[in-house]
Amino acid sequence: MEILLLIVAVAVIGPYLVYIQLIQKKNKVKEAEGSIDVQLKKRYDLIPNILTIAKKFMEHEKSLIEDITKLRMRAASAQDMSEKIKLDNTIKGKMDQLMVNVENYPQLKSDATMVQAMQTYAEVEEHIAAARRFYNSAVNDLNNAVEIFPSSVIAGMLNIKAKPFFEVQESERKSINAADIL
Amino acid sequence: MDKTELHKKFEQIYSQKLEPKIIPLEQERKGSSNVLNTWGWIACLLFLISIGGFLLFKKANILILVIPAFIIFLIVGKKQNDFRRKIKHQLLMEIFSLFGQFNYSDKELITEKEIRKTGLFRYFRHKTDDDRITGNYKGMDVMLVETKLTHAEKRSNNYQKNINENEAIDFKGLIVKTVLNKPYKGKTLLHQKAIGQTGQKQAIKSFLSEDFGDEKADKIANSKVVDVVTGVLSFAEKIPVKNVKLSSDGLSFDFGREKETNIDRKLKEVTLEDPEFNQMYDVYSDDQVEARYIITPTFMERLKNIREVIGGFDVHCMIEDKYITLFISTPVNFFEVGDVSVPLDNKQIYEKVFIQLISIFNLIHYFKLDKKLGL
Repeated sequence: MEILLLIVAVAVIGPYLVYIQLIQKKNKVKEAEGSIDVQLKKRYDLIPNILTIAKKFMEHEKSLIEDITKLRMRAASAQDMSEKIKLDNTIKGKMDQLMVNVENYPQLKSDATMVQAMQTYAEVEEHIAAARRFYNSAVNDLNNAVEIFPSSVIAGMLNIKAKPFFEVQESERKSINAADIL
Repeated sequence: MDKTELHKKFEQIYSQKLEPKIIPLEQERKGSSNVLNTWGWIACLLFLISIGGFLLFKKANILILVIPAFIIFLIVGKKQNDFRRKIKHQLLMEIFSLFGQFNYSDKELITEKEIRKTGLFRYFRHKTDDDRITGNYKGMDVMLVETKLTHAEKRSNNYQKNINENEAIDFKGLIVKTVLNKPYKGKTLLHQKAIGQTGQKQAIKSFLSEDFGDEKADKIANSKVVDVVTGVLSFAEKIPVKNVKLSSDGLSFDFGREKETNIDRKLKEVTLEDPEFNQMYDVYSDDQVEARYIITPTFMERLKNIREVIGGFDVHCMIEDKYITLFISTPVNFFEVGDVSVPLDNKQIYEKVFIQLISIFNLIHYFKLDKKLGL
């Protein structure tokens, strides 16, 4: 009788513990997504300020500035995480290009407001990188639980699916060629 | 700068800045040393007469001589401390002035409450500061405190069936507190739980290199004996071996022992992406993103190899508001100048302090705390 009770207890408690862990991991991913949203919003709030200053000096970069404006509007209204990641990678690439091009405009480069804006932008970028690492760490935990047996069975029953990693854009991985910048 | 260059630089500083100050102070030291030695001998004599007289003549009133002996010991001790403090104020600060504007502080710089709040040392009850230095290095506020944190530990002696109270050391070493190069709001704590075999070897090497030189220290640190000792020590850092206790009663398992730390419940554990770092450190923070903003992969790498820069065993780190505080546990005695019984014109004492200071300020460069860069 006692053995039977023990088996029943293990059969109930075991899956329940797995269930708790899965929900905790899922919520951690949600928390990380929230952190990314907060940091991305900071970037999207800062971009118009940078573009306004840049517009005054960078006459030859109009198309780049317009691209960034459009992408920013799309990214700000994106709901799905994969779409957000994709758009953000594109915005980051364009913004990096803009920052490099600033070097060609000495007047803009030495403008106090621009310097301040660039410093703030760099700080926001670092925060985004930190949020991205937090998100990836949470996603890694969740994906392991979703893919490894026996938690994979319960995840399947709860319809919890693996999430995409916030991967670094290919252009970011390339080593920087000093000749491109100087 | 290599050791030869550092030596040359020191020679120049010694002859230009220290020597002129040392000459009159050495005269004073000789005078004080003679007086204090005489009083020390008188106190010893009184003590011996008192105890010897009591044992020989069995008269209790002769024990009264212990009181003046004790008073003399206290006065001599105080005079020695005053002299040490004076030398530190004058000569030690002269060496410090090469790096920035510094003061030898008689006031507490890092309070007991502040250390307790970190939660790093759960058991400590007493804090004894040896040196407290505050100042400015390249525009950054820096505080250096050499301290010892202790608590009384009761140990039962099975043979004599009594309980002894011993002083247990929770931390002995240097606390370095300085401003962060990044705007940071929050609290992040890094508690070193293991340093591994490589870390132990690095610690031994940098500890020995001060006295034996780099080459010899490297040879010793890579010797077979040290290999075995550090191998055993790093194995002992691992759970569940960590819970095995070796005492006069033999081997015992102590699973009920509470954790050494007492971390604020508001701080949540942070798991970082470097498995090697996770094995060495427990990280807690009130904000997962802010923690990663500070603890970048480069910062982790630097912290893992910190013993290449400064000799030390456990290195804990506390980042709160705009400050970073490093707790470097080390057996090295820092800034040892001003002993009344040691001649002040011994150049080696100051060179040792100079090298120690180079290592400390090198830490700031190592973490690039003086640069407004993302770590």
